[in-house]
Amino acid sequence: MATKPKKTTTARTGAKSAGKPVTSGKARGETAAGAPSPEDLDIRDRLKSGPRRPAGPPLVGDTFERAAIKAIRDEVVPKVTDPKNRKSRK
Amino acid sequence: MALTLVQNLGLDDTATSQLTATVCEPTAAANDQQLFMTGNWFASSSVNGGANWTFVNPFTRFPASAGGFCCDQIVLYNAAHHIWIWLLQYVSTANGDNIFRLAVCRDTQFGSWYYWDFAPKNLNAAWNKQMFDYPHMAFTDANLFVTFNMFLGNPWQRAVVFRFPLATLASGASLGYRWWATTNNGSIRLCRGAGATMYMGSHNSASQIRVLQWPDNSTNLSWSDVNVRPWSGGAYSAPGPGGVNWLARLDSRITGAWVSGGTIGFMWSANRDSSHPLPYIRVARIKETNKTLIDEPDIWSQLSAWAYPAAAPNSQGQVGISAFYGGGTRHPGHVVGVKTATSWDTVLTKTSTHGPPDQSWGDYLSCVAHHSTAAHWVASGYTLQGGSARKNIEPRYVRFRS
Repeated sequence: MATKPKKTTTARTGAKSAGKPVTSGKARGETAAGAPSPEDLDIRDRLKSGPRRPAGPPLVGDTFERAAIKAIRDEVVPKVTDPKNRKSRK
Repeated sequence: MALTLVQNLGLDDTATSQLTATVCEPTAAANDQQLFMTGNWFASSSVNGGANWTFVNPFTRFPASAGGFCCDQIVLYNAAHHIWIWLLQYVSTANGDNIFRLAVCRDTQFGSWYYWDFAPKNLNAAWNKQMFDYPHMAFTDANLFVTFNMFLGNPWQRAVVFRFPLATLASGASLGYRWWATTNNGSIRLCRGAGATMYMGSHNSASQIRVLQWPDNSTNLSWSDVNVRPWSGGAYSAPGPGGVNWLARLDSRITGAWVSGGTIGFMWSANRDSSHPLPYIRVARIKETNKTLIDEPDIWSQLSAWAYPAAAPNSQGQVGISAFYGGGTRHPGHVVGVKTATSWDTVLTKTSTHGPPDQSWGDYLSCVAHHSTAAHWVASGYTLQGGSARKNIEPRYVRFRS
């Protein structure tokens, strides 16, 4: 394993204010939002199927074959970690 | 010592009002007898340690804002400041922008929430058509950290990190905060168990992780890049009974992160490769002091796939996880586990009776230390029980110890 300290890069952060919070009572006020119907939720559920949209820049090396070839060359595979079936207390 | 399930509770229709989704994204936290659980698209609370649950409707609990409540939620309990923190993501307006709502309540007034809203345009006026998606939330000694991706329509734009003072969240005073954005890394994951410095991780490539750190006493953050063993991404597949591929939505973003005892850990779902016949969980442990790689104790199986890991240390520095396991002869199941000296001790909490017909599952789970028994963990999970419709999703609240 490498032991050389890693090079560190630093960046500045910004400051903002969000003001005071909105206090929300337990009762539903006149401005309370409505809930979608079960049918609307069924549609929302189906829209979640399929691959997710990319959520970052493309990753170099994130391809099936290249990584697989390198993995078999480099890897010492640890033992398998299948879960047990164990009863809970309650 | 063997892993023990102290509580393993399925939330029924009364607790969720059947506002469940096959991409459930559940989170859970505990403050002694007070419990709170969120998921798509429900919230539920208990004041008697989980014996009874009360449904809380995230669509109607707060006033209407943006395009209405959407989906992603996270709940945490901060014992140092005696506050509950509930994050809710909202639907975009017709203009394309949305908000996230950061709701806080004191444990002495459990359920009496006050909140702040945040829109992308609050950070930069030019981001007035962009939306937040995929939140994560964790705290240090002094601050709450929140990360999001930001999108313009569908294309990813940047990742954002927020830092909020916990003392101000608790007092309900005017909230000053700090923030930082990057276009170099997406889906930044925050470490659970942080002390005076928050550590975060994101992939630079399929063989390198960027480890970011933001000390509580600094207005600057910094990062180091750590090489790890190469892994595969691409289109994930782990067909279960009936050929249902429950991993069609899976990707490689880091979903589990912790810091404990001088070690930073990151976990993510990797695709099958020559050494692993099915998708599995990659683990990278990194030395906190100099950011060198310690080891990579992966979690894998010859029989079923592992995916969607979440992780947290307990008060003794042990690492607990919550994850899914399925494919082959098994429908997706929920698993909790702990790191041992040489491997992982893992236990199924429940296995689905069906697979998801739309091949949708995920996108995240939670694992946190329990309060006030901080040697225990609280994990969220879910399975399909008795059918494959979204109403057959049964969220789980699991408390476990080693």
